[in-house]
Amino acid sequence: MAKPKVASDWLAGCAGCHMSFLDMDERIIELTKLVELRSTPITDLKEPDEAGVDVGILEGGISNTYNEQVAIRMRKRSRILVALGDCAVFGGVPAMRNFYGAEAALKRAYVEAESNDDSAKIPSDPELSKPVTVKPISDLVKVDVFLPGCAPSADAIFAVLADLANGKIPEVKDDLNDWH
Amino acid sequence: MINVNINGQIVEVENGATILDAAKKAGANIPSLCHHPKLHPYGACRLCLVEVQGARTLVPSCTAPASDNMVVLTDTPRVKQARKFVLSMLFSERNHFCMYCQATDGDCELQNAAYAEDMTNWPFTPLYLPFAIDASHPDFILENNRCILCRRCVRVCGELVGNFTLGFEERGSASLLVADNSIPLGESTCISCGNCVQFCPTGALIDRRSAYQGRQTDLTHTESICLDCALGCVRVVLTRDNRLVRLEGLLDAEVNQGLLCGLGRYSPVKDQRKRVTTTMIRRGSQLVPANWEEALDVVATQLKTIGSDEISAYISPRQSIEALNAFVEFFRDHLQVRQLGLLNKDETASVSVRLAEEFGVFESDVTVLSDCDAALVLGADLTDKHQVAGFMLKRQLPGGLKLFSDPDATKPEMLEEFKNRVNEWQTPVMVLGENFVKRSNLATLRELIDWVDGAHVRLVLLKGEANAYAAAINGILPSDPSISTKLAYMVVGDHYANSNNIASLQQSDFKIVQAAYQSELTDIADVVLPAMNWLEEEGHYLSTDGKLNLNHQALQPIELAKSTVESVTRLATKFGLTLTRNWMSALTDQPTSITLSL
Amino acid sequence: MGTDFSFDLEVRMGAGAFVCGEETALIASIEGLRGEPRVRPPFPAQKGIWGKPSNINNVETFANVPQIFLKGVEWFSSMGTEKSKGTKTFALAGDVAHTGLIEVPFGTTLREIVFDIGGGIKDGKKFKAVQTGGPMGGCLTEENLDLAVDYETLGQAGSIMGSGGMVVMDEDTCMVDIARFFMEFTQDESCGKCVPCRIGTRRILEILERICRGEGVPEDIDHLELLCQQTIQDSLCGLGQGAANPVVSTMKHFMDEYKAHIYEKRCPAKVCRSLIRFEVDPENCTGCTVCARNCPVGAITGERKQIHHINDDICIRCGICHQVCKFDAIKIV
Repeated sequence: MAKPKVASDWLAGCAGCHMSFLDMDERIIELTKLVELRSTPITDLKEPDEAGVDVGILEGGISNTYNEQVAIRMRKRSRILVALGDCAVFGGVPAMRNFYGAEAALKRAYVEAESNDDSAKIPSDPELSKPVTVKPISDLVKVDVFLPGCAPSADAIFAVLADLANGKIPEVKDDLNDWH
Repeated sequence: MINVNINGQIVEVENGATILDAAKKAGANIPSLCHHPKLHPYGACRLCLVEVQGARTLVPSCTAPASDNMVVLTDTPRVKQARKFVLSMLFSERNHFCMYCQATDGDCELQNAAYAEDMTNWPFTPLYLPFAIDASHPDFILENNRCILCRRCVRVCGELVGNFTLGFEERGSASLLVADNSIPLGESTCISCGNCVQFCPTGALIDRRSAYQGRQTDLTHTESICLDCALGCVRVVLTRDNRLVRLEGLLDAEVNQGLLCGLGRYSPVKDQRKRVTTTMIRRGSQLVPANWEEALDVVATQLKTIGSDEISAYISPRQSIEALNAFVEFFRDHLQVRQLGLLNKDETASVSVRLAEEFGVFESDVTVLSDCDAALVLGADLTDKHQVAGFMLKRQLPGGLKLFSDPDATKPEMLEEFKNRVNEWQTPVMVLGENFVKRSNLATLRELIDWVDGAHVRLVLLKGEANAYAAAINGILPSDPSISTKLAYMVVGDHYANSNNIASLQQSDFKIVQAAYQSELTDIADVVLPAMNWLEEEGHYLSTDGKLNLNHQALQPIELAKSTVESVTRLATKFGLTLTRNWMSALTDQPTSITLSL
Repeated sequence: MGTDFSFDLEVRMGAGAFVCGEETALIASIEGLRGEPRVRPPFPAQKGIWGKPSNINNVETFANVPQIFLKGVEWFSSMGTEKSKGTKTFALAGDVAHTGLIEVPFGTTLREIVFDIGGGIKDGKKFKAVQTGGPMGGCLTEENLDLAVDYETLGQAGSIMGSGGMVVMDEDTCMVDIARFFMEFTQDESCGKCVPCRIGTRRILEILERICRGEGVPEDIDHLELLCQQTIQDSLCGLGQGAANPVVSTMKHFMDEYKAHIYEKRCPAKVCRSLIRFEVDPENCTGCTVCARNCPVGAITGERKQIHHINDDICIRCGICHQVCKFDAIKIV
C-alpha cells in the first residue's frame, strides 16, 4: 500500500517550526519509511500535488493575500490539514502587528527604518500581495489538527506525523501540547 | 458535620463548607481562577461550575454551600463543555501571547487550566485590540493584555490589605483594572506591598526584578522570618543558583496569612550595598586585607589589654537569638563588659520586660487586631513599620471599625476619648509603639496597664524590630551613643547603619566591626570581620507576640563570611573559653508581658 | 392608620445601570459599591442590605399590596389565571396604533392586547412578532396570538414576563436586526463580573453585527447556538442568563431570515443598511426634486421633470428620500 503523502508550506512564520521538524534528527529516516514527503519549503518540490496529498502541514498564520491563496490551496489538496506552531494555531508573534495595523507596520519597515533615505516609500506594485489582519489558519479554512508550540518540539512533531501515518488522528495532549 | 458525595466518594465536611472545599477534601480537582483560599469567594469566573444532582443549572462550587447528602459530579460532559467555554471566552477577550510571558509553562493558572482541558487552539479568535500597559510603578508592571479580570488583586488590596487602591473602571467588556481614579500606578495611593502581584493568577502583574528568573518549580523555596519589624511575618525566600530571586508571603502563616508589606517584600531585593568580602585590619590610614586568625589575634590582644569598664559592645537586633546568646555570654558573663547596647533606639521591648516584672502577662497576641471593633494606635506609625498590623486594622474600616491613630503620641486627648468611650465597644484593642514609650515614664505606663487590665481592652506592644524583644529579655537595651570608651565591638551583621550607630562607634578609640556590608561603620573601623546576612545565617527569632520562629538558611554564604556565633566562639577560644550558655533557658528565666510560645 | 407604627422612607437614586435591577446588584448600588450581583446564598431575605435581612420587590409589586389589603384577597384572586392572580402592567410599544402603559388581568390574550387595546398594527401592515419581557425576553409569533398571558404561558412559549415590556413588530422588521438591537443593549449593560456574560454577549454581538453587515459566514449559526446556550447556562445573574433569549428566540422562529442574510447577503425585511439599496422607480418618478433637495449627502442627481438617480456609492441609506417622496418613486431593494 502506498505510503501517505505529506506536504508542507510556511506562511507568516519564522521557519522555526520547520527547523524543529528537522530537529528530529535521525528519526527523519524512520519517518520517510512511514510517509512520502512531497513538497515542502525545504525540499525540491514547492507545490502540493494537484492530485492531492494525505496530510498538509502549514506553519505560520495568515498575514497577506498570498498567504490566503497558499492556505486555501493546501486545504483543497489535503485530506487532513495540520496547523503547525503557535502562529498557525492562533496567530503567534506576527499577530502583534494587529495592534498597530498593517499600514503602520509597512511604514515602519519601508519608510521609517534606520536604513531608509528620503526616497523610501511603501512598495505598491500590483503584483505584490496585500497585507490583511493577521489571523490563525482556522479563521480561513478548516483545520483538523492543531499542534501549538513556539516551536512545537521535534518529539511532538514526530509523534503527530507517526500517528497520522498510521491512519490515526493524533490526540495532542500532555507532553505534546505545549503552548509556549 | 455533613456528608457530601463527590463523584461517588463520600467526604465529611463542616456545615457551611462550600462544594469546592468538599471536593478538595475528596481529592477531586475542580479548576478555578477567581477563587483564592485567602479571599472571600467571588463566583466571577464560572470555571468551577459543577453538576449537582437535582439542580437544574450548573452550580458554582466555590460559593455554593454543600448540603448533607448532596451528590456532586465534577467531570461530566456538561461540566467540561462549560469549562471549555469559559476558557475559550477568556482567550478571545484579551491578548494572551504565552510565548514571551514570564508566567508561562507552570506559573499561569489560565494556561494550566487550558492544558487540563486539552485545549490545543482557541475556538474564538481575539480581535487583537491592544490594552494599556502601566509601567509607572517602580516595583511591578501591569500588563492589561494578560488580565482575566478575576479581581484577585482588587480583593487583596481591599479585603486583606485595606488599602483599596485597585479598582475597576467602566463595566462589561470595557472593564479595566485601574488604580484610584484611573491614574498611573506609580502616582497612586499604592503602598507597594506587592500582594497583588503575588495573588495574580496570570502574568498580568509582573514583578520587575524577578520576572523571567525562574518558574516556581525552578526556584528553591525556603521559609524564613522577616526581620524588618517585630511582627515575625513568615516569608518564603525564592532562590536560584544561590541567588535571591524573590520574596513571597507564606499563605498559611499565622500572623501574615500570605501577606507581606513593601519593606518585607522588596528591601532585600533592592539592597544595593556592597558586601564585606574579607577580614581587614587598619594599617595607618588604610584598611588592608588580613586573614581571620590575624584579625582575631588583634582583637583578642586589644580586649585583653583594655579594662572591661573601657569596653562597649553593641549588637544589631537583626541578629539571631543564638548570636545574641553568644554575644551576651562572651562579653557580659566572661569579659564583664557593662556597656552592652542594642543598635536600635526603640525602648518598647525593654520597657515591656520591666513592666512584666510587676504585672506579669498583660499583652495580647497581634492577631487580636484582625477582629476588633475599636482600635487606638498610640505612638506607632503602622504605615511605616509593622504595616501588616496596619492591614489588619485598615481592612476592618469598611465594616465600621472605630480607628484612633496617634502615630507620634502627641494627642493625649485621643487617649482620653478612647478611655472615656471604651464601654461603647465589645472588642477594643490598643497598640503601643516606640513614640509613646519614649514620651512616657514608667508611672504613666503603669497607670495605663492598670486601666487596660480593668477595662476589656486587649493591649499589643510593638517591640522594635527583629530580635529586639529577645535582646531585651537578655538584658541588652538600646545603646547610648554618648558613652565613650577605649574600645567598641560592634556586631552589625546586615543592619542598615544609621547616624546613632555611627555616633556610638565614633566615641571609641579602637573600633571592631563585624558586618556583612560596607558602610560608614566599616569605613572607620580598625578591624573589619566579614559577617553573614540573614539569608545565610540560620537562627531563631522572637516576634513581638512571643512566638519563636526559625529563620532557615536560604543561601550559601560568601566564602570568608562567618556567622556571629562562629566568630564570637572563635574569639572566645583565644581566651581559653568555651561558650555553653543555653539561650532557651535564658528566655524563660524572665517574666514576660506576653506568654512566650517556644 | 391609627397605630403607633411608623417608618422612614428614603428614596435613593442610582446611576441608571440596567444591571442594578438585579436584586443583589441593587443592594450593592445602594451600599455605594459597584453595581454588581453577588452570589446567592446568602439570599437577601437572610442577609441583604448592610448585612441585614431585606425584602426586595419592584414598585409594581408593592403597589399591589395596599389594594389587596383594602379590597381583599378574594377580589384580587377573582382576576387572573390559576397560577398568576391579579393584574399586570405592560408597556405596549412598537408598531401598534395605541402605545402606552396598560394594566390587564392575567389571562388576557395577546390578540386582545395587540389588536383590541393596541388598536392593531398601524399603517395597515401585517403583524410579525411581539417581543415580551424586555431585552431578555423572546419573540412570540402569529401562532401565539391566542396565548392567555401569564408567567407560565409566556415561559412555555419561550419568552418571559420580565419587565412587562411588549414590543409589537410589523412585517417591515428585520428579526436579525432586532436580535442585534437587544444584544447591543444587554452587552452594554453587562456589569462585567462574570466571564460568560461579559465575553459571551460580546462575541454574540460581533457575529450579529457581521451578519447584518452582510459579512456572515455559515459557521456563524453554529457559533451563535453554542455561544447562546453557554451564556444562558453559565452566567451568574439574570442579565447574562437572559441576554441571549432574543437571539435564541428569533433563530427558532425566523431562521430563514438569518440564512438569507448569511447565504444570500439579503435582508428580507429591507432594514439592514449594508444589504439594501435605494433606487428610483422610473415609472413613478416625476422629477419633482424633493428627494434630491432632502438628501443629506447629495447622493441624488436629476434635472427638474427628469427621472432622478441615486448614486449607490454615496448613499448612506438614511431613508429620508423614501419618506419625503410623494409619488412612491423610491424603492428599497
